[in-house]
Parts: sequence; structure tokens; C-alpha cells
Amino acid sequence: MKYTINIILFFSLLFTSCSDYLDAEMTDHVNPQNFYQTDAQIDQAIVGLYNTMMVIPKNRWFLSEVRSDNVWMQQETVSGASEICYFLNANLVSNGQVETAWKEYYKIAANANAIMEHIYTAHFTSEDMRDEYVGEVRFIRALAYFDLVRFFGNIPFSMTTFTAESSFDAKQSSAKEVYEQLIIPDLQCAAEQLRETFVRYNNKTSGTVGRPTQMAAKALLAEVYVTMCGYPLMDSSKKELAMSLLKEVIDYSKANNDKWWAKDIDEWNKMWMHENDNKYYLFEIQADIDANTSQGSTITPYTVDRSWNSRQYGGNNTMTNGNSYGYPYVEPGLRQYFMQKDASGNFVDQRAFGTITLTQPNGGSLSGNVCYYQKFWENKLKRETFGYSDMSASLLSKTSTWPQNFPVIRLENIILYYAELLGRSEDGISYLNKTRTRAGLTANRLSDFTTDEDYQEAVLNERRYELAEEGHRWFDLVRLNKWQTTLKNMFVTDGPTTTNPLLVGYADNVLPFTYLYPIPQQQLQVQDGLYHQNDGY
Amino acid sequence: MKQLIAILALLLMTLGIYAQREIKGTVVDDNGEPLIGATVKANDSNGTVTDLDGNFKITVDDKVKTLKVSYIGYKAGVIKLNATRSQYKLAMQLETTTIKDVVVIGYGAVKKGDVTSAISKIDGEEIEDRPVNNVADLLQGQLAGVEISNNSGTPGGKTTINVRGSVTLNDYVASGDDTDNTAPLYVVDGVPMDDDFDLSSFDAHDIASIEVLKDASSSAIYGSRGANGVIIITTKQPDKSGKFSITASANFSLQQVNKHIDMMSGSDYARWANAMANQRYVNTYGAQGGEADDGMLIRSTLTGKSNFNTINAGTAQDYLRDIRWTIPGHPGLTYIDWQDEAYRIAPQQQYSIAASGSNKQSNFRVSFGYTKQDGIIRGSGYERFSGSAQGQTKIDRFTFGVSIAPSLSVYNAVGTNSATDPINLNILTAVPVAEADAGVLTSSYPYNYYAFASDSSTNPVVRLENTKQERQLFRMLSNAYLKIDIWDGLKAEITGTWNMRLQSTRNFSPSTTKNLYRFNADGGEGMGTKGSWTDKKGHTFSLQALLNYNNTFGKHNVNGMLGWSISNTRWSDSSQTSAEDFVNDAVEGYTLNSADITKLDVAYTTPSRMVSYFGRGIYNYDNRYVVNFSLRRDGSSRFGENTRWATFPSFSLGWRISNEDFWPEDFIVNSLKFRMSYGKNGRSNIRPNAIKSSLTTATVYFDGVSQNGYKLSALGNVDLTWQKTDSWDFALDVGILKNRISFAIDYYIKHTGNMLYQMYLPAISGYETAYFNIGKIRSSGLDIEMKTINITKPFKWTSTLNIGFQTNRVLDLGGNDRIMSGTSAYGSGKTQILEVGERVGDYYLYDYMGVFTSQADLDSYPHVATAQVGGIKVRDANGDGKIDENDRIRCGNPRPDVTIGMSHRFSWKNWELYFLITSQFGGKIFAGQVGTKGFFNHPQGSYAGSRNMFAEYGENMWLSEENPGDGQTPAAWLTNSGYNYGGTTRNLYSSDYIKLKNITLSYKFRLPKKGLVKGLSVMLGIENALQWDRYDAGYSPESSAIQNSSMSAYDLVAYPTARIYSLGVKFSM
Repeated sequence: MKYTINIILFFSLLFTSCSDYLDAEMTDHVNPQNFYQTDAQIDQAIVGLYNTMMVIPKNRWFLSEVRSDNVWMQQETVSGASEICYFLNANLVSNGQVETAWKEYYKIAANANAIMEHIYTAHFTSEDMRDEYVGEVRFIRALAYFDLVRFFGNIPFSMTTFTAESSFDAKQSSAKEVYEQLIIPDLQCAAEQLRETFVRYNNKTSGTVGRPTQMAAKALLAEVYVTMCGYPLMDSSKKELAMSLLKEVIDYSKANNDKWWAKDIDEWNKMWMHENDNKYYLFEIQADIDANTSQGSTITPYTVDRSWNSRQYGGNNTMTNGNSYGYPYVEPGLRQYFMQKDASGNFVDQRAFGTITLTQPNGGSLSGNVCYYQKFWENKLKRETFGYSDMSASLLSKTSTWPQNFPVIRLENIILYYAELLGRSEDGISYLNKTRTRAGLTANRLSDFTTDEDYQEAVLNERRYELAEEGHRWFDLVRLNKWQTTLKNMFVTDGPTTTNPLLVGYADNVLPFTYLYPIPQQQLQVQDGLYHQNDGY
Repeated sequence: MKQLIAILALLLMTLGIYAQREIKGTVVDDNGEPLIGATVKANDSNGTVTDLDGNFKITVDDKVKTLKVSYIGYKAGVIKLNATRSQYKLAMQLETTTIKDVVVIGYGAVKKGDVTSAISKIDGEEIEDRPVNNVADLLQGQLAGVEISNNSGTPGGKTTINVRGSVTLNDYVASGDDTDNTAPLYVVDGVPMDDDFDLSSFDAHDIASIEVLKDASSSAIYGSRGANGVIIITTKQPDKSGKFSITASANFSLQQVNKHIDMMSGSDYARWANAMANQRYVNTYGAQGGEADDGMLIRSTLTGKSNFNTINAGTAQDYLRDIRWTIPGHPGLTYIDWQDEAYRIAPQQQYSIAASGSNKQSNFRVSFGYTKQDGIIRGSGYERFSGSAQGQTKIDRFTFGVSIAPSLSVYNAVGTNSATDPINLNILTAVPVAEADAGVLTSSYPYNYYAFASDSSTNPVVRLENTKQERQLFRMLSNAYLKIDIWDGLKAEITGTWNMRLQSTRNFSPSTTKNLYRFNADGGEGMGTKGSWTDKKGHTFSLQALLNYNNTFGKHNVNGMLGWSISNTRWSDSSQTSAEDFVNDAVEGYTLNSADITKLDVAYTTPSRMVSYFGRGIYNYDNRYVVNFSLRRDGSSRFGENTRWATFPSFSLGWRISNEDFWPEDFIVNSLKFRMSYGKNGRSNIRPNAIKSSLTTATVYFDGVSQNGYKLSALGNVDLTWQKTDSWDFALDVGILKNRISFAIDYYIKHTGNMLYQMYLPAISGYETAYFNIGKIRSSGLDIEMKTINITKPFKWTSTLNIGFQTNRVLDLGGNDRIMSGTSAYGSGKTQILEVGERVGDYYLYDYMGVFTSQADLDSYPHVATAQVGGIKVRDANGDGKIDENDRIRCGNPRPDVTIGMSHRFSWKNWELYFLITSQFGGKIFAGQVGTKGFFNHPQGSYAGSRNMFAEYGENMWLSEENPGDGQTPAAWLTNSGYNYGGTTRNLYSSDYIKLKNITLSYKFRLPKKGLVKGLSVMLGIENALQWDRYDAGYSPESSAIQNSSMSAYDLVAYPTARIYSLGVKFSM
């Protein structure tokens, strides 16, 4: 009997509570609750934040370049790019590129918010370092929201993180609110707290190149003001603010031995080689050629025909390619502009070969409308032409072989904004001529322009030629309220050059509401009534 | 106090004094051999054992009327004493029928008649002779309400099992980490397995019985894990008869593909491609003067494409034709039937041997099985080594036992498991024409692909032969237990378990299998080779303690059980290396300096832990009324502190009406039982770390210098809690004509709520999805299981029939009205829908009407802007004059309404003939392959002519307004033949089928009783003998690219199921 009781006692021992046992520690991932504690960890989180930014070039390609009259989709495909190019407004609601862009920009913002939430409590060895990091993170957050607000207009915004439940509470705000409450304060803070060059305190010398500086923040803020001056906000009060910032950046460049300025056209063309990354831009999205990771530029694979890039790059077919996005040709009008040659057979605008393909990359001739952008495509021929050796074939056969950085802010952009805001004047024309003369074009004179409109048209065109493929064109057209006339004109003029008569008809799709993209259907469906769709869609 | 009572009882026993006498006797076994060491007892204090000759002597008093004889492995024997006699002989009966008379329930067993819940059972003997490797396949058609789908014939492939239409919402979000949320819980010899377990590592010869607990009252004892039903596997236990025995079996079979899909032949392809190229040329360049019989030169001039006859000409081939197509006999070309090249008649062999023995105290069983199956697709195969060893020994009240069952499975399956590039798609669509000198080596080193096909797809045969995709899975189940007979019917049991899994996957693709782009590359041989090696390992430890009490007091039978268990699983720590560009094709191993390492990765998993308390009581009065109550409390580490514990109660009632006094003795219905049950189950099928947020590594190169960091990756939800299912079951068990006919009818209804579902989040959160507990689904159905003995002598015929009907309804989707779900069809969105008030996962597609046969037709019917003549015409279902997403219609469900299994067994003298027929009705299958990139009728110009297609498509395709085909088949060559070409009803097929699943003829030799060899039989069988179905687009209506039982039925030409001819022999001694 005793024996029985002993056994029962033994069993009852087993039945003791084990609540601690059920607190299984997460061993497969880093848990945010015990991260963001030290400056080193904040630094790592910022590296993660840069990683989320790598998609910006791609999004600017699809949502800005393809949408604008810089890119002409030769072939209709149901998916992706052609819906954007042809203004297939009903389809855009569920367009994958649009939906992805929305998500990717918010991912940048959410990562920034997660850092901001902890950066003031994390242990820092230096307060200066903390200040600089705050400026950096806010700069990046502003950049993400700046694109979001320009593409989508009425968007939800937040400066804090969410739980699964609370993310359903964020409602949309007007574009103006987003600018005033988030973008401008963030950039003002960045302009104040960032340094002349980025200083990294974390006992490391590497990793300081490619991060924002005070001038980058001022330049971006200037661009924000320029944008607010234009359609649809038409906030002319921002003009003065913009001009003084633009001037400051230009003066800074001058005072520092023409920093960021390529002195001649040869140097300009070489600017688009990865060897010259981080020399010419105020801020750029980093890319690298590396055998093991996908760290290449996100824009290039979408801009080129598959059969071309495979012949040039050792034959990698696994990457996303131009083909399935419908032959993204350079718009025929723009191609013709670049193809012009003078009497001695030289290109009139010598930026031509740096910007577009004039022959096939293997030297073959082009036919029909075939012409691709190659600013961000270092094919063999282009490298050879500009005096660079070929890249290693084994590296090039990898899934991501696009080593060029992508400029977010370039001095030329700032100069041409300034020329625009100065208006038809000697001063304005002097800035306009800076990029023109470098490209081998004849300098303009004040007498060339009889009206302000003529002058503004010339600045806009110069921006198109200088900044082609960099994602500015669509924003310029919207800002200056010219997207409707320009795009309608593109369909009417270019349509007949194809075999598809439908394309002319797409002019009718360019409607007053199309300056914005629709809020992605998938996001509207997350919860009924959470967001209201942009007008017209 | 208790001790006092015991002492009193003991005292009372010794009080009476009676006259004494001596009894002698012999105890023998069923063959008349003496049993040594059998226990003979007059009462608790007076007993003896038999000697070497089986004799015993015992002195008893007059009051003793019977002697009880017991011996391990034999039924208890009784000797009735006669006052005048002193010499007795008793023949003991073997306890062979034990396993058949009881039904294993969770943590225990009950007599068949006492079962109060819905349990289906199958004995190992009934299935072990079939030439099928996966035990799960063998269960098909055997169990009512258990839907078993043979999704693919891949050697060693997984078979999905779905008990009573289990369904949950999380299947409908591709989450990556939980693929089959409706898989049942497996319990092997009383120990619950982890989520990853499947039956394929078992040799059927080691299985004694399989029980399926279908209703919640039986499965609730497994609480949180029983929601999808429980499958209990009882392995063969040592023979306890005191003898040594050996059984062995061997089986040899030949497998053959049982269907040939009618693709275009080489000559048909040439004819069609010629017509198509001409038509396309005329369509595009007709306005500029292009005519069908223009030669190469004119075409070249017109199209501006100068590189016609070279590889990589882009779209040039669209307008081009091979001049040889029009020359009779197509000189210089060869035709290839890729199905003939890739499929083969493949052998399979299976061997098993088991030895078992026992003596009075100890017993053991060891077994070994070996299976080698060559796949019917070249290069594929499966090999399994399985073993088991178990032993137990009894000392006094203690029984100690260990068991260990290792198995090693080796899978060779090139592309057969790939959801994105299944090898069959490659086989079917490879262009059937090649340059004569290249032949079957076309598109592989050193030959170009056939240039006029403008395609670079991989040569399937070379890919099969040269590519290596080998997976080795080592699995070991082991446990040790201690059982204690504490006191009169009270038993305790502690079991410790360690299960482990080691898996290593090895892939290598040499450059020979690549298309020509690779050979043109600078690297030469070795360039483009890819290899990877992945190791995964997992362990589960668990400890379980049970107290069992069973006793009978007159008409009252009481059974009680209390238990506790704890487990810790860490299931897939892994490491992976990938490399590419090896020195050459011969080097496969990792000589790191000669290949580029592209990935080096080590991943850990968060452990998943559980603590459970459970108990059950069964009360049976006079074999008439049975009441069963159970309660379980589970805590899981997958949930947050406040939500991790849940309680799962159940009860069931049984009434054996035929045991009542009023039941007429000779009534035609000889047995009738009514039973009903209710129970609550749970489910915790989420990632072990779903409640916690996590960060993932992220790299950035600042000015070419790599920096490592972290970014947000998953958002946790600490409020998550158990998914819960409430279910009811009402049933009748009936026996008629002395059980000549017996059947059980079960009706069930269950509500599953609080489902763990990954919902999309607003992107502002920074995340795509997070888990929530939402929704409610009701499922209900009817299971009928019937057994009949049709004829008994001399010819015996028995039959079984089981039928399962099931349906379900979505009752709530957490505030959403509808959620699109399922797999995306090519060129259109997801193919299935969840909608409140409707069945779960109905297909939701455009209603296919045919093609726009003419411009007039196109102009007169609503269409999308990009529609063209010759393209797809879909119905304007909502009649609003335009075609958009709202025109999709609900058009059937992937799950069948009814599944049926029927078997017949005829025996005559030494012969036996067995048939098994399975079928299902009312479901639909979506042929995902039709409209897949490059397949059949993919209407995107750049693929047209680049792949082979259905013969019928070539015949019937729209070519021009004058030549519109059958009006149902769109032009394959249009640049854009309309909206959503993949997601139309054209690609939806009925999945009804009737299949003669198995025929076995066996002959059992009559052997002398005393001989060494006890049994010898031979078998001839055909598996998957005949099939009727209506699925023309693929091999089998059971196919599914998604190994997920509740969605299934999205095919991508799964590996065909083979017809197997087999010859087997079975032997025992």
C-alpha cells in the first residue's frame, strides 16, 4: 500500500506547473524587443533601412518614367508596365507595380519609424552621433513620403510604429498635411543635424560614403518646395524658400571646387559608370556588383530587352527582364532628338550615347523603333566606348549584375530647378546654358525666347534631356500641369508608328484625375472603408 | 484509513477453514504442446505454476469451485472443478484475436462494443500485401469520411489525408511556413507525433492496425492537436505465445504509366507551326504586301529582321517558317515523342522480414524492410530502408520496454516536386521536332535547340538523366516506457520519446542541361553549373505519464484515466550551401576554390513546447449504457502568456439497444447501438514564433563596402489564441442477420472558429500580413461504413462499402465579405474565393464562351480593350456591358461531394481474390498547366510555337476569320488574345472518377500442422488497374500541385500514378 502511495506521489510530482517552460525564446530571428538598444544596433538598423530603399530606382522607373513621355511601350502586355504607360486606369487599381511601390515605400517609412522610436533611448557613446543618425533617418523617411505623396496624393502617414491591430487606425491625410506635418519638419531637422560629410562614429571608417549630408537634405527640401509650388498644391509661398535653398546648394558646389560637377561631356558620360559612383551625386541609392547577393541596381533589368542583356552579360535569364514588361523603348520623339547629328556626323547633343542605345550593344544596327535607355546599363560596347575594360564574365552572369548607383539628387537637377524659378532672365539663361553647353549644344540667349512660356518650355526640355531615365519627368509634367497635353500628344504622334491602331486611342485615357495613381485595390480591401479611393478611379 | 481497510480485508480472507483436497492437471496450448510456467490459481493466496511437462498439482479446499489459469499471450483459462474428479486437462486458446476485438482510443483501448464515438479502423493485414510504398495510399477507399488524395505519383511522394472535410482558413493564404493545416494528428504506439510526420517512412508490414478518430469526442483527448482528426498507428507487437517466429515477404512489380496525353506529333507540329507562322506574318505584314508563300528573303526585308536562322533572334521566328516543313518527308528533321522518351516501364521491389519471440518474462520483435522503386519517369526513384526493434520485459509488477524504429528514405526526383517547373510540363511541352543530327539531344550540349521553335526550353530527358536532385531523409522514432500494475486494475505508465529527423538534399545541374545561352557564355564547360546542399535536422522530446484504472463491479464497468505530458520540438534547424560555376560538369562536390559559393546559410528554429493535462472517465452499465467524459488542458508556447492555455472537454453516450431485455432474441436486427458525442478541439498551427515580431538580416554596399544590418520582417500578435472546433456526431451501429450485414451511419456537424489566419495589413504597418483569430466555418457530412458477408460456404464472399458525403459553409470571415484565395492562374488572379454563406474555396473564374471568331463578333460583344479577334471570349456575367473582375462566376468546388470505397473478397479453398474500387464525385480540378507560360495555348505571342500543345488544339485553333477552327480554341499566336486567359472555366474539369484501385489474387498453401513452415502464400496483383475519369488535360483527377488537403485540385501536370503489376510471396515459420 505504501508502495502504491509512493507511486502516486511520484506521479503527482510530474504534474507540477510549467509556465516558464512555455516561454520559448525566439532563436531563429532577432526580436525587435531586444534590438535597437545600442548605437551599434541602431547603426545596423539604419543599414537595414538602406536595404529597403534599394527599390526606389525601380519604382521611379515604373511609376514616373514609364508613365511619362520618356518611355514608350512598344508592346502591350496585360501586366505591369503597359497598363501604366497606356493609362489603363481601370486596371491600374490592381496593377502589381503600383501596389508593390505603395508597400515598398511604406516599408521604408516603417523601418525609419521603428528606429526613431528607440533612437532617443538607445545607448549612444556620443550625442553628436545620435543627432546625426536622427537627421539621417528623418531624411530617408521624408524621401519615402515625398514619393508616396507625389504618386498617390491622399495617403495615411505616421511617425510611430504600429501593432497588428492599430495599423487599421491610420487614416488618410491630404497631401498638404503630409508635406507640412512630416516631410518638411523631417527635412528641416535633417538639414540641421546632418553634417557637411557623413561622419560615422561607430569606430569604423567604412560605410560613411553614400549617406546623406547637409547639402543633400537642403537640396531635397528645395525640391519639396519646388513641388509644392506646382500642381496641384500651387503653394507659391514656397517659391522663395526653394530659391534660397537651391542657391545655397549651388553656391556650396562653387565654393568647393565645383563639387559634383562633371567638367566636360566626356566626364559626364563616364559619370554613368560604377567606377564613378559616389562622386557626382548629392545623394544616391547604392548598388554593387557582388557574386553572392542581389545588391545590384533595381532599375536596369526592367529597362532592357532580355535577349540583349543576355548576350552582353553572359546569358543570365533568371532575372526579370524587359521582355515581360513589354519592350520599354525610348519614346520615338526623344530618340529622334538624341539621334540628330551635325554636318560632320557628330551627335548634336553629346549626351546621346550616355543616355540611349544608338546601336545594338553587339554593334548591330537598330531597326524600327528599337531603342533602349542605357544610362544605367553598362554594356560591353558602352564601357569600351568610354574607355573602360570589360567586367568579369563570371560576375556578370549572376542574378544581379547592375553595379551602378542611382542618383536621387544631382546637382544638374538643382541647377535646372533654379533656372526654372529664376524665369526668363539673363540669370536664368546662364543656369540653363550650363548643362546645354557642356553637352555640346549652342548656348541660348535671352533673345531666343519671346515669351515666358517659351523659356519654361526650354527649361523643361533641358530637364528631359539631362535627367532622362532618372525618374523626374513625370513629376515635372504634373508639377507644371502639362501631363495631359504632353501625354495625349505622345499617343497621337507615336501611335501611328506602330502596327496597333488602338494605341492612338489611349490618348483618351489621359484624364484630369490621372495625375495620381489609384490607392491599390489590395490595400482598400484590407478593410472595407479604411481608405477612400482617389477620385476618378 | 485505506491501509486499515486493506488489513481488515486480508484478515477476513483467512477466516474460514474448509476441507482440503489435491487437484492434478496438465495445461497445453492449442496444438496440444505442454505450456511451461502457466500460472494456476485457486485464489489470491493459493497458486502454483506448471512444470516442464505442463503438469501442476495444487491443494485446494472444498469451497473452491474453479481454478484460474493464465499464461502470457493466451486467453485466461478456467478449470471447473468437479467434486468427484481430481485429474484435469486444459487447452489454452491463443490471444490472437485481441487486436481485432479492441479499438484503440487516445491513451487507451476499449472493446469494440463499447465504442461511443466515430472511429474507423483498418487492420494491417488487409493492406500489407499491396505493392504500394506509402501506407497513406493504402488507406484510400478503406475508411468512410477520410478523404485520401494521391496528388502525385512521385516515388515516395506524400499523400494528403483529410478527415471529415477538415478545413481551415489559413490554407488560403500562401504563408510558406504552414503548408498543410488540415493534416490529422498521427499517434504512433500511443505517442503523438509532430506536425511534420507522415506515413511514408513506415513499412506496411510493421503495422498492426490503424484507427482514425473522426469525431471530437474521441479526438478531444488530444485537445489542441486533434481538430483535424487523429490517426493512431499501432505497430506490430511481439508475439507473446512463447515461441519464436519469423515472417517474411517479397514483392516484385513492374510499373507503367497508365495514360498517354495526346500532344501534337512532330509532323503535326511542323504543319501547324507552318500555318501559324504564315498567318502571323500575313496578319502583321499583310498590309505591306506580305503573303503566305513569301520566302525567307522577302520576309526578312519586310520584317526588318535579318537574323532569322540564328539563336536568340527574339521575335523573328514568329514570322518565319522552316523551309523543310513544306518539303514532303521533312528532310533533315526528326520527330520526338517526349512522353515515350521520358517514361519507362520501371521495376519495384519490396522485401520485409520480421522475427519475434518471447518467454515468460520478456518478448521482442525485430523487423527490417527494404523497398526500391524506380520511377516511371526516367531518373526518378525511391529507396527505403526501414527497421524496428522492440522489446519488453516484465518483472513482478513492472514492465519495461523500449522500441526504436529508424528509417532511411532516398528520393530521386528531378523536377517532380517543383511547383513552378514540374518535369511533366517540360516533357509534354518540349517541341517534338529536332534537327536530325541532334535528335533527343536537342537543346542540350553540344546541340542547339531547334531554332525554328524559337525556344530554349530545357531538354527534359537530358535534364532527367544529368540533373541530380536527391533527398535523403533519416527518421527515427524511439521510446522507452515503464508500466506498473499498481493495484487491482490500477496501472501507471511513463513513456519517454525521442524522435529525430535528418534530411539532406543535394542538387546539381551540369551545364549540359542548360539551353544554349550557357554555351555561348565565356566560361565554357562548368559555366552555369549549379549545386546546392541543404541539411535539416529536427528533434522532438516528450514525456508522458498515465494512470489507468479499469474495474468491473457486477454490472458496472468503470474506466478512468489521468495523464500529463510535456513536449519540446525543435523541428528544422538547417544549413545550406549553394555554389555555381564548377570547374566542369564532372565535379559535383564542393571544391570551394573552384566554384562560386552563392549561399552559405544557417537557420535555427524557435522551439515549440507544450504542456498538457488530461483525464477521461468511461462508465459502462451492463453493456447497455456507456458514458464517456474527457477533459484536456493544453498550454502552448506558440501563444502569448495570457492566451496560451485552453480547455477542451468532450462527452459521448452509447446505448446498446439490442442488449435491452425487450429486444427479441431472434430478431433480424441482432445488434443495434445508438451513440452521440460532442467535443471541442483546438489547433495551434502557426509558426512557433508568430506571436513575436522579428527582424531579418539586410545587406547594403556603401561605396562597394558590404555592411550588414537588420530590417523589419514579421509582425507578431501577442493576442493570438487557439483555433477551436466544436463538433457533434450522431450515429447508429447496426448488425443484421447475426452480423452478416453490419453497418454504421454517422452524421456530423462541426463549427470551426477563431481560425488562425494571416490577414493582409495596411502597408503603413511596414508588414504584409499578420496572424489574427478570425472567421467561422461549418462543415457537416455523413459517413456510412458497411460490411457484409454475402456467401459463406464453400465459396466465401465478403464485401465492404464506405461512403462519405461532406460539405461546408463559410459563416464568418472576420468582417470581410469575400477573400480571393488559392493559386493564381497564369495571366489572371487567384482562382478561388472564400465568401460568407458559400462553400470554402469555390472556384471563381471567367465563364469561357469560346473565341472571337471575327471582327464582327468582337465588335458585338463586350470585351476588354486588349481583346483581339481569335482571342478568348468570356461571358459578361453581370450584364453591365463590360468585362472586368466582376464577371467571374462561382463554378464548383475542388472538394468532392462524395467519396466512395468498395471492396470484395472472394475465397474458395486455397484461393482468394480481392478487388478495391474507389471513386469520388462532385469536385472540380483546375488544370493550371493549361495556359501556363509556354504551354498548350498560351496566347502570348512570344511563346507561340515555342512549345508543343494538345493535338486537339493544333487541329481546332482559330487561324483567321476564314479559318476559325472550332470556335472554342483561341489562337496561340496572338500577342494578346484577351483578358485573363488562364482563369477561365475552359481550364476547369470535373474530378469525378471511378477507379479499380487494386485486384489481388492469392493462393495460400496448406501446410502440415507440425511442420517448420507455418504459412506460405503467393500473390498476383494489379494496382491502379483501371480508371474512368473526365480529366483530359492531365494524368489524374487527383493531381494537385499543392500538397494541401483542403485546397488541392490545382494541377500542374503532376507525376502520373503508375499502374503496377506485382508478384509477391509471403512466408512464416
